Amino acid sequence: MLERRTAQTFVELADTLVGGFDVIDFLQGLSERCVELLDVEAAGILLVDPRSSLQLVAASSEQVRLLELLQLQDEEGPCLDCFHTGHVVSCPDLTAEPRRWPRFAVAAREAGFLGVHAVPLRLREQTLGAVNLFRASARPLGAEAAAVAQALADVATIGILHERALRQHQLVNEQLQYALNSRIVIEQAKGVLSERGQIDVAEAFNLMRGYARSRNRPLSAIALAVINQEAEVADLLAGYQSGR
Amino acid sequence: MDSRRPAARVWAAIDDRSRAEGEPISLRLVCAVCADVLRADGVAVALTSERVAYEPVGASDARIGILSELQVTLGEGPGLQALADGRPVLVPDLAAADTQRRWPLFAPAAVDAGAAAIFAFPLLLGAISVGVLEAGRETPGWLTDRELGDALVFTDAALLVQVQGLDERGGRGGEVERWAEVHQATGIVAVQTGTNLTEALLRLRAHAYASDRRLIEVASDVVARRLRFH
Repeated sequence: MLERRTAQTFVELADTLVGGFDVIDFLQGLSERCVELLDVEAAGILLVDPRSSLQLVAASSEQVRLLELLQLQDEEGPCLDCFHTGHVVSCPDLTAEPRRWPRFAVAAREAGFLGVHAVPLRLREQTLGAVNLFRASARPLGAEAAAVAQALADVATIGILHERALRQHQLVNEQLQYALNSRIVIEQAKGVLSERGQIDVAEAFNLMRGYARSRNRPLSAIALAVINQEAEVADLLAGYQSGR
Repeated sequence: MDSRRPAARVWAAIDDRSRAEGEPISLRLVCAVCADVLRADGVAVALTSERVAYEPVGASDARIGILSELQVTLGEGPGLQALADGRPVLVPDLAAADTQRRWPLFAPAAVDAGAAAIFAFPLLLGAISVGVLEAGRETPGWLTDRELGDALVFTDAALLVQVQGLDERGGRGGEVERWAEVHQATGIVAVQTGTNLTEALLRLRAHAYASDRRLIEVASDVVARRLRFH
């Protein structure tokens, strides 16, 4: 079962790499696939930007987003260790090692996570970021799931570096800069939509994502349309409310 | 904080200059330090508003100012392009054939004015567009990776000077993009007050300042619906 779904995911990921490549959409999709395939409760992805600072680019849930941001703020946690060393960092039971990342461990438990597994986005000596998997129970990630996680991370790495090979290196940084800014556009649009529809920001995000998918449009384009109140998204909330 | 990171390095250079000149951090000061660090012959910022699409404001010297003026006069160029596309526009050789085709009026005029390369970075906070920072050089060639990273931090600095105000120390360096709650709250307040995002962010900042709280705390209250703006 895992094998078939995994193969399917690789085909999907390969499809996204062709044509209009949107880093944010691609990595958001990857974080959600990780949750579906790997028997983990949540996933988050960090990417290093041209300023050499780590940025959160995708999260499968709002809780994980907050947890990842906390790591970035405190400059402490398994994902950062994974990025800085370029190696897998795994801690199946955070309660067993309370002093390894004291602040992160507490925050993770409060968010309902006991285990964490971080996989680098790395090709040879170059580390681009990390994929972080969170589990609600204290069990190690199975060998098979760990291997699939690394394979997914490798596909993501190649996807990002593929662009770099095709284009001028600095143009890729232009793209990445654009992608990171579109992440902010998405946050602003979450706010706009949540206030219009009187829903919380997590619901607003899910709504925009579903809308973007069903119309085969980039999430960032839908977010911008929400902010500018364009006709394209006039029925976004209407559909949601009637479908409730 | 690792002092080798571009953010720390760039901010230290800006702070040092501010102290040495006994002058608060301004767009002009950011441009001047940026020109030194990038080995650029000039750095300028142009602001964008509802009334004026591209208004040159701070320039490290007169020569780069001419490039800004040319763009205003001719209605085309890398800075205007960066604003329109919402992404950096890097032009390592203004005399190259494809550059001359891309901006048939601006490129030859810029070369006549002595410029050889120009790098334009939009000052963007999501859907909020504030302006553009442009660095010009009299010799052609790409920025190094390190220079590109530094240029982006200078762009953050100019953005912060213009939008967020430097009194908010927490907003420095690479943290601009981590404040997801601030961006969400900006969207919420824009709807509550019936204004645009730029105005909404100003309202949030003003509230934080007046109530002597951090912007991120005020934003969290807005997102949790503990605080409303009307």
